[in-house]
Amino acid sequence: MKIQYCSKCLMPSSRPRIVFTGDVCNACLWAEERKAIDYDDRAGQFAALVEKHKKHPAYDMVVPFSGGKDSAAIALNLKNMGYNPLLVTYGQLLWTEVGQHNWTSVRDHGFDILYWGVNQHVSRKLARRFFIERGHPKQHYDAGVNAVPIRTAVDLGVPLVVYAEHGESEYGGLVLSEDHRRRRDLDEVLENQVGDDARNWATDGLTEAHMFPYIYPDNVDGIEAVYFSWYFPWDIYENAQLCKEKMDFGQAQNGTNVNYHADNYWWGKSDGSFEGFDSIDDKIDDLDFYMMHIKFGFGRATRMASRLIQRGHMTREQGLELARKYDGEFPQSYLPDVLKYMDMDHREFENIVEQHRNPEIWERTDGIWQLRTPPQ
Amino acid sequence: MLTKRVIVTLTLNGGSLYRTKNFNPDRLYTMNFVDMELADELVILDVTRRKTARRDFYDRVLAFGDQCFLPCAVGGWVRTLEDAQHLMRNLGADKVVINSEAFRRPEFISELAEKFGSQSVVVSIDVKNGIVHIDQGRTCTDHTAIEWAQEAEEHGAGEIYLMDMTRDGSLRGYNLELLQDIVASVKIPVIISGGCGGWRHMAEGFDAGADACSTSVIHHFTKTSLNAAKTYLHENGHVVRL
Repeated sequence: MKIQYCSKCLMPSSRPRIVFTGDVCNACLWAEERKAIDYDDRAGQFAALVEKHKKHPAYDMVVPFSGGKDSAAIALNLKNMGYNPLLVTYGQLLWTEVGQHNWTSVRDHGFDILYWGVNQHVSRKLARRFFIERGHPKQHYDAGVNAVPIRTAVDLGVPLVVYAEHGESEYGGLVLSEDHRRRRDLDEVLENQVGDDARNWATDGLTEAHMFPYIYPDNVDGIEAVYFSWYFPWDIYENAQLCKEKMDFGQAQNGTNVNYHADNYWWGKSDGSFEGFDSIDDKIDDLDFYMMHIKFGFGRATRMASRLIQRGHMTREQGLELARKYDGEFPQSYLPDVLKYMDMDHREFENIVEQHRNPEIWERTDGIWQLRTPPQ
Repeated sequence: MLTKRVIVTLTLNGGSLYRTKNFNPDRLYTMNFVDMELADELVILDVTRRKTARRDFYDRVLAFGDQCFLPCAVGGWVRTLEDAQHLMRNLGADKVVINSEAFRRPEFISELAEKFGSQSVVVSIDVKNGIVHIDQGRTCTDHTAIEWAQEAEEHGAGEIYLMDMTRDGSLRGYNLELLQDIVASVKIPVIISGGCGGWRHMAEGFDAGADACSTSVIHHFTKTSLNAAKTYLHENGHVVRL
């Protein structure tokens, strides 16, 4: 099969749903379009939206809060605008130390956070199953992180839910309509991120009751879920900087070449990437990104570099160098913990990884798996 | 009592396994984790946009035939008797799925039925707002789904593979109204497809008269999933092969 790389960022056409116009991906086109947006006007629309949904005596909106830089930055920005958001955390599978530190820092900075910690016996069984079947040990997390904040909004009567960004717009995908950039479409999320109904997972000793945190509530009338990124400028690097400066965020320090950049501009480092500020809360994320590389042929460094290129933080040449260096770096740092979590030995793990490797994207030459079309 | 069938549909784009949404291939999947031990039948469709070299698709079908012992219906770009013959004689297909060519030339159904028997001829009908669409959904015809299903049956179709295009790739459930209309209009078995998000949707499909429910959601193809689906259907009073 033919793989095409975006000529502006580094995203390949093997990214699910990505749309190319000529040799440019839709995320890069959108990054250009964004520059013409009147954000003063959008901020006014946001204020009106909050006003419209003001029902709860204390909270203005629910903000799903993973513990990471993006949701933390949103919370801080909303607070600075004078709002009182209720943060809702659906617990990570395997919190990292730095993730716990950052989560606590946000709370200590002055926010109410509801923490939904799920049954780990169930979560571990699902992680194992979904790693085997889908190469994605966090599939149920994707379901829960979508269901739990909405359920909270319904139950507490806080009708406005502010999500971070529309991934299909910002990072490449299919944008169904202009309103899909603003309003979170449940069907879109379930179809693209979860892929089936959590009720289907009630098997092998797990019951439908066990699936409750993963099932999207039915009675969502009156709830409006929107993307912060539609109303305000969106830049993940600036989010990370804000969290570092204002809320004492730490960063991952894993893998080799931690100080690859002499000036340490992209501070920290995670396995598979050249930075340590993105997706650092869950130990299992490193494996997830590794599997993305196995399945789709692009790694965590390509993903991060593309986002930074789109916002003008690095050139394509710089990004390409980083992608070539770090994509597919083995998720060594947390692997023992992750394997224990999934109740899996190393041999089984390796077999499963290979089952997910797509031979249409990879070929084995001289005993080494190589991309048929490497980043270029 | 005959068992109801759970059918797995694989959509191949240029020989690669893709998810489709609203008839557009939009996500590449790795074949390796498709496990269909508990499915009752397999439908393999070539959804490649252009009729280019068919070799990649044929290679895939052949590879599937070697490792899969399920009854297998194959279609997509079947235009001639020779196309159908190649699929059935050389590539191991048990049935052939036809669509646009059958609509343009209904006698094609009779030709195939005469040569291979009606039981081998599956007429696939793509529907949007009650109207039949052909050419991978790009051409709107002047036939209602009911009219065309009846005509196809008269010409010797053995089965109808019914798809609501607007539900393709969604998880919202089958179009039950459309299904009921077609089931009431023909005597041949109807396979419903498009929109299966969970086991309860299959139960709804059988309740509405489907002879078989198709799912093309890759996450339903695993042994664990199919087992869960069958168990759910069995517990809810449907006769399925466990």
